[in-house]
Amino acid sequence: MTLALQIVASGLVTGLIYMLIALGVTLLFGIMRVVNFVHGELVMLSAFAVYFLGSQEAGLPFWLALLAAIAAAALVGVLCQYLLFRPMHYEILNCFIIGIGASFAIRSASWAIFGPEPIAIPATIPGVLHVGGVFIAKQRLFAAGLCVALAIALYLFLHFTRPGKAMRAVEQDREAALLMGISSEQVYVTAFMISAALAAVGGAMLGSLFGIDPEMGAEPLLKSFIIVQIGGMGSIAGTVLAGLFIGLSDSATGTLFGGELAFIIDFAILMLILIVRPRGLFGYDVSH
Amino acid sequence: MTKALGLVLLIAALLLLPLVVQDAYYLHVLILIGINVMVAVSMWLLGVTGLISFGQAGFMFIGAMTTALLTKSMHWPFWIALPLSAVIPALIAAPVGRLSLRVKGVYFFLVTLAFGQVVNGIFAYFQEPFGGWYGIRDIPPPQPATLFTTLNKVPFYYLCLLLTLITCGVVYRVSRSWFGNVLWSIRESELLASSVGIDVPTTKLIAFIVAALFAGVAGSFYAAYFAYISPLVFTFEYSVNMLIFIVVGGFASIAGPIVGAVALTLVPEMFRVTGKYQLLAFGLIPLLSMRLMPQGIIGSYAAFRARRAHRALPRSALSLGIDSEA
Repeated sequence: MTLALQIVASGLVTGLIYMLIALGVTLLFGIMRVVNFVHGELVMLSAFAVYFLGSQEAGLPFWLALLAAIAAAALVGVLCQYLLFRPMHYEILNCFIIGIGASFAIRSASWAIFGPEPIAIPATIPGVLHVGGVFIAKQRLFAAGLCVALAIALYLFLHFTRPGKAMRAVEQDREAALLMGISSEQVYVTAFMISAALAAVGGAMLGSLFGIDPEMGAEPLLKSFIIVQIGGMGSIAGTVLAGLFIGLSDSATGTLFGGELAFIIDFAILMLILIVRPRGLFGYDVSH
Repeated sequence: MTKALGLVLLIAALLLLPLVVQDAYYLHVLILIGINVMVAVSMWLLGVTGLISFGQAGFMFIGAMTTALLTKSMHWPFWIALPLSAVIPALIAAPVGRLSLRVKGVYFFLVTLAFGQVVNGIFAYFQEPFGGWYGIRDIPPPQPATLFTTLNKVPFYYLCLLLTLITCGVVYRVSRSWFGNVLWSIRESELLASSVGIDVPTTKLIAFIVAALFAGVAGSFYAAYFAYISPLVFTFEYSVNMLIFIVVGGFASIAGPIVGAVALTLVPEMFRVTGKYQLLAFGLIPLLSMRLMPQGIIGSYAAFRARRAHRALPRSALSLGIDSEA
């Protein structure tokens, strides 16, 4: 019983972080049908930014370092849009390929700059909470809380603010939105910034829990592809549900059979979903 | 006619090459090129329909693993293991293709990507019989053992050349056949193709299976040549490299993946001296290539020829580049 609770608790935390990263992927896909392969590198770069800004030399407090990393990630995200995706006219295959190229380039440059050694980050909020036989590090609770808060903020933004509504309008029908005077390019810029900011927070949280290295972006990116596909591309609710689900299943298989198997189980779930419902839980019709 | 003559001359030159090139390193690079050409060409066949399978490395791994297990553990001759290593990936490709082809565009990329990772994950997870992360060492060479020795690369070169030519020949024939026309028509408009009575899902599935078959052949040869396979070789990055070969070479004809594989296999070798920046170059090449030559090398070459011939072709007539619907 305690083991089950422990599995659920740690699974929810990782699931929430993956969900946050996957939200960035699904947002861009929903709005401009672009799969951003650089997303994982944004996660990695922000984790390094938080680490270096928060280290002794720079000495920024964690919050400031995080904010600076978010700003930097947003800038890189917009740069990617201008240099990579816009020249490709947001065409899906071309964007996919050019994104992979950029991602490889960034990753190998990071290998050269940061070195291959993983770096552990000391917890900003040390201590362990003990609730009903379950142990949770306070750092994890903080990460989970931040992820939930940001997911809610994203929901509120999309539904109750003008730029958010514009975003949903473009998602639903680009031409109609254009006729209503909504500039899709402007919406794309906002979307890239928000997506990058989500990646930045996800990266900072992942880094603070599991340490950082130049390869750290690859796994969350793959996971978020699976999450987004199970939940349905472009669907926020689907992403949230699938993220939590994958987090729980990873935690369970990881604890019971070892982490190597977790990915195989994820894939089995994905295949099952594809058999039953190819568009994912809440996705659009994918036959077009 | 000149085209056929050029092809004959090219093959003759490739056959005579070991007489000139004695150096083991250069032969090794040529063999690497051959392996890459096989995989890239097989990936291109399905790519014609606008679908890129990121699971090619997975099928290649299955082929390599089949050969490794059959020749090492069961002491079967390589010549029996080779066809089996082609058939088994094809058999696995049938159900996998059936499922993954239910989705399109980017969904298909992601599913096949996940498939490749899972094949890799399974082989890495089970120490018995797949060797786990350490892989399998000391895979026996093809028979007769007196000919295929580690020191003499010439027999391997000829075997590789033979397999590469067969792969390219078959894929070329297929792409120029009625079946190939169907593949191109699916790329242009799937809806239109199905409306004139083409069985689109089955056509795609056959292309998927054929691609897996040749990936298996390449994997089998890889295992026999290197005598060592491990999950660190047949990664997602390997599949991406194949895609980069096609993109840089060009999608328009089978020459694209061949030109791309030949040109870009040399690149990591050339950048070897730069050490850790080798991968950086490899990431930047597709990036620059897509910005500067959207139709790939053969597309740019065709445009160049057209301009030289003063044929006032509109640019749009030449745009055989990649595009696909979501």
